[in-house]
Amino acid sequence: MLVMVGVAMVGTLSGKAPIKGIIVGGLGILVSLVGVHISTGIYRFTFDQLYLVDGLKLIPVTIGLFAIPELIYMAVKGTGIADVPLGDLTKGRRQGIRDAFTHWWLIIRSSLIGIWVGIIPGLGSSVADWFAYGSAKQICAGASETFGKGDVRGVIAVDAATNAKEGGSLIPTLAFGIPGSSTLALIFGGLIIVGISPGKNMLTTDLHLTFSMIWLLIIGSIITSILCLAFTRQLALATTVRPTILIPIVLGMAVIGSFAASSRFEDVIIMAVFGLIGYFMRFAGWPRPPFLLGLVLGPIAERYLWTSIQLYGGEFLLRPGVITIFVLLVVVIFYPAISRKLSPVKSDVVPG
Amino acid sequence: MLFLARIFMYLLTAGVLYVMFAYSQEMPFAARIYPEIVSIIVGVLLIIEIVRAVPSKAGAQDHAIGADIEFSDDEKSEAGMRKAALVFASIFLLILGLYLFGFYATIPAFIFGYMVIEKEKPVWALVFAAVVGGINWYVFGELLSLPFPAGVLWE
Repeated sequence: MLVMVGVAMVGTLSGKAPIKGIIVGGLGILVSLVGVHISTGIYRFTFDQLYLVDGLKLIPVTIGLFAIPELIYMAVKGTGIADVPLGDLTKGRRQGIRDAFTHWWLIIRSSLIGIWVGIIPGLGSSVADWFAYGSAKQICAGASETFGKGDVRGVIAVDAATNAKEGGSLIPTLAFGIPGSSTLALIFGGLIIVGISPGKNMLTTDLHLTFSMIWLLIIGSIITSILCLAFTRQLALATTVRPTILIPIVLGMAVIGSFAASSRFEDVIIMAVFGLIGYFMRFAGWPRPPFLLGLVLGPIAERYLWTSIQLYGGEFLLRPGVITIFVLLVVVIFYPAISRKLSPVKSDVVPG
Repeated sequence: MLFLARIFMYLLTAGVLYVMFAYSQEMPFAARIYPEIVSIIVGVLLIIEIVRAVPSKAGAQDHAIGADIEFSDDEKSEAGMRKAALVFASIFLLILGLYLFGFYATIPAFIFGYMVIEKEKPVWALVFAAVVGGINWYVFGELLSLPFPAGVLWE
């Protein structure tokens, strides 16, 4: 149910075309089903292709859907990523810090979303990002007109959720011994190798280790922030590099990144195919983020569906938690449309 | 072209739904129920979307895609589409090169060729190609031991 809320939320973010958003999310879910079905062990939608047995990898699909169309956009535009002068970066730095304090409530709210997503094993940062963005877009005043057009609140919401998600995913990893993400699965393995077993002990006898990890996260964030502030100019200069230099280098790196996902040449082809699809999606006005979210969440939704059915049968749909989330799902889907209808100001009305 | 792009997306979606639904019929219940449900829901929404888009101009007005970056006017122009076709052609050539000559040779050659064609100075093109090729070889090949295929011509 939570997964469906996630997909629906991104769908409803799709401007005036929420149906397209939900369709794209559904397509992502369907594509995620390619490969071995966990419960029965049968091959689904593999068409006798060995490559498809493991399903489509997230990295080549993401690179194809997002990087290739952006490279085309850059090639057409003929300028670097930033087509305006860098301006006074010192002033910009100060403004950025001020923005963070001005929108402190948004940071807290988005961080809570990030922690909540982090606690649920398997939901990645992309889910936290879109949940936080969707929530900010629905709650912040005037967001429907300004989000996606340089409103800093969109950036604050996403960044706060992403950072908080890391802390949140530590909770199931350390407290219950369930890694919250692939990165934490590696940390989990590392802890076991050095003789520490995550679980109850991390909150009792090994509590100092838990606090060490929490402090490491805090110190790491501070160091990253200082480095980013110190090298703002150098980082910003990267956005002014000419597309004739940037495009071939990024393309080269994109194929390496796609190949590195599973060391298979087919991943590079998948990247190119999804690059073409991503281009047509942008052209036709179909949003791409829901596809990604569907791809990530599809298998998780199916797995939890079967777990629920095995535990409670069909009656799981009548459990209070499920009903609550279903109500939330309905609100998420219909809130934007209702609020648009009730809003006295129509953004698309041109005065005069 | 916008019309063709929309038709492409409708056909692509309908094709995926048809394939998923048709193939899932041969599967056991536990494996087919989830794709069937999702296919039916998405199918119904697709029909609603097509019905909304065809008779009125709602489809045309729905171009504000909110969470995504909108297609710019430059990209819609003939020159923009020509440029997009060139980028896709270069990607095709890159993949063909990777298949024939392998990663180590193709990526630097591609960077050099692209930059020279785009009228960058050959010296700079050579420098960038060498740097990226070096990083590719040392970081990904040596340190991370990625098993880059050698290319069918060298095998």
